[in-house]
Amino acid sequence: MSELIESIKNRFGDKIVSVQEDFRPRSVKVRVGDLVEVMTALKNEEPFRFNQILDIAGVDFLNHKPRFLVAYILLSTVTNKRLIVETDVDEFEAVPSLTGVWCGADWFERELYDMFGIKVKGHPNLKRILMSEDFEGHPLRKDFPVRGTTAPEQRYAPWDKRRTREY
Amino acid sequence: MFTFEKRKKDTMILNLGPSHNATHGTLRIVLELDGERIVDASLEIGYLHRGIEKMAEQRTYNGFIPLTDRMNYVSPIMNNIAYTLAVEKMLGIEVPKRGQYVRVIMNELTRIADHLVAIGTNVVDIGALTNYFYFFKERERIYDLIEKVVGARLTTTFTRVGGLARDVSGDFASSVRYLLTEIPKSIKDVDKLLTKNRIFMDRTVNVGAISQERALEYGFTGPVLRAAGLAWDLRKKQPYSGYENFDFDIPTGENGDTYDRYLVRMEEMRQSLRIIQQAIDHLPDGPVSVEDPHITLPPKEEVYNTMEGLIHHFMLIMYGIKAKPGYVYFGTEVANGELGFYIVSDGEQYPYRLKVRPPCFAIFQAFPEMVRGLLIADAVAILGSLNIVAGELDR
Amino acid sequence: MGIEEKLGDSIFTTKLDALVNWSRKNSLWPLPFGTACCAIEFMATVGTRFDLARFGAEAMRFSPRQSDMLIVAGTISNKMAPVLKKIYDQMAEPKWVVSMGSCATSGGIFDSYPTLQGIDTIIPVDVYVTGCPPRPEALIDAIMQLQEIIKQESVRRPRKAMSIK
Repeated sequence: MSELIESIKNRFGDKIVSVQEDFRPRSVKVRVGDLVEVMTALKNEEPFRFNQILDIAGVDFLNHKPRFLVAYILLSTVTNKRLIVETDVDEFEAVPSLTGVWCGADWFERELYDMFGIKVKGHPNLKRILMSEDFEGHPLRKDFPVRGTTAPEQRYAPWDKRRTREY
Repeated sequence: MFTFEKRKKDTMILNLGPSHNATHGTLRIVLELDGERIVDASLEIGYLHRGIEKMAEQRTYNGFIPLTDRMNYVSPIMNNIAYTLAVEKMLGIEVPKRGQYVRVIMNELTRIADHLVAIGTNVVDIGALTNYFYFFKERERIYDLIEKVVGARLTTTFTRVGGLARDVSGDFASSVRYLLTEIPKSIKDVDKLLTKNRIFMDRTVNVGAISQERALEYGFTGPVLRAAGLAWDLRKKQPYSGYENFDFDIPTGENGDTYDRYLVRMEEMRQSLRIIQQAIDHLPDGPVSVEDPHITLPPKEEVYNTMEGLIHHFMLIMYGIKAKPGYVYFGTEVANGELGFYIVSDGEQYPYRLKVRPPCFAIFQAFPEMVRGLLIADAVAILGSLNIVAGELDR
Repeated sequence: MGIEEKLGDSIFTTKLDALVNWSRKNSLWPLPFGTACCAIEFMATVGTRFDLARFGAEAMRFSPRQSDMLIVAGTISNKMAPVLKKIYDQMAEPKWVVSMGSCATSGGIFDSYPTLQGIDTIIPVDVYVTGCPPRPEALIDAIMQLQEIIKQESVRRPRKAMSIK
């Protein structure tokens, strides 16, 4: 067991559901409820100091319970280490927002919501980011076809039928 | 769509983009103005979302490489290399030394090409058109070399999992040496024109400054973070593809403003030239790809003349590479920062999930904080200095 | 007409169409609607080596009101499509459209949920350029072909407006 994983286990105890050391970077799994607390400690406390959140990736395991896995990819420029924190979340559950811990989590969480439909609780501005707001469905879910749910000729809604903008 | 909740009554709304010459792609920025001062900015992206991550789930590991070209289209080879390194990390293989060195040379040439465009277009927006022509002259020369090695100018698909598509030709070293004599001339010309230029400095010094703490908090990487003063470069800190063999410096800025970003990019080009010089001087012989029939294609003579070669070729083309179940995240230092690939495999020949970590995505979300309180013209200068490439921003 | 005999070389006569078309084709003002990779090749076309100015098409205008050749360079997503349509509608006649690259022409390799499968589903296109991305020579060839198209037009006859549903 590596030094980092050991210190994480000592610090958080049974909040860590499982650890994965076969793949790089190593990952730990926590429950959704403990996420903010663990992340705050990982960012601020001394042996960890993960001062950057690089990415938030969702994975859809269709027909599994819980359905989604959310991976938070962290980097510490102080200790030069990487870590992935994973959490399981089901279809109608929400993950807590980490914008209070790293403000850079903002867009990544919006992307998570846009692509997977995973709600992010406490996010200041939870709207679609890549798709337009009248898009239906969440593209990166496994039950969404790659060519979309509408026929190509119907995908583009003519300009004048779109609702008018605010400005 | 855009709501400024605390909008004052007498402010004006100005729309920049999605079709605007300073956006270099497709971004929409809505500025809230008080006179000429920017009170707030709101961003909208996604105009170039092409579903690359979704398409990756239906392509083999090698079949995804052409799509990486089209992510950061200013420097496609760096994307090819970043992606194949991630897959190689997952498979647990290492490319032979010659393959690594050729990759490093092409990687650094592309980094130069990327910075040439980033600086060139940034100063065009500020009003200095000449530098763009100076830099594009060099970029065309780099294109010539890429064309000689790869066969295409822009969409290169240069690497394969386990090595390169093919070895470089005999005059590769002399072509690179020619570039090493030509590129510094243009850099010097532009350096003379811009670095101490009064107008340029007035437009860029202390414009769009961001502190190191805020930059880290936002997830900045690459030249923008280095301009804020932190010497963080994955090529040095977490070396990959043989970067530990080369001697180079990490340039850093002080204030994290637009001028520092320009200086960091200029210095990085010189450091890249140093790396290329060392790599071309010590270019080893040998194969460029691993010789594992489950990963790389056998040579053509073997395919045409032996049964095993034909079977390996057929199996690899039809079924692709299979990775054992698991995940990997691997980040490399591309021109804009850390480009990472998070790949989840379920044991099949297609990735179960592939997430791209684009450097621009984290950088661009800090744009409103950078422009607040500045003039409209500064917004254009800052946007250019961040080098937002919509292809990797939206994927 | 005999007028040349009296005034000598100081004037020459021609058809109105030929004069108008000659001036139109040699001063095409492009609007580069560059969204993706093709925009980089378009930049190379404008740049030092290929020099689009040789064909009178170097005056980039990013305002649709001032330009008469729309070069759509890059993938158009469904989110971008209304913007492209609006920009095309804002351009004043006469106007021509060059569809640069596979993505603009047919969607290219991006046969996926967000991309528009060819801009000719929303606006009329005069010249298509193939390639992913096309080389600068291909774009220059397209502009020369467009000049041939312009040469055959007439000011008296209204331009054949293609109707797109």
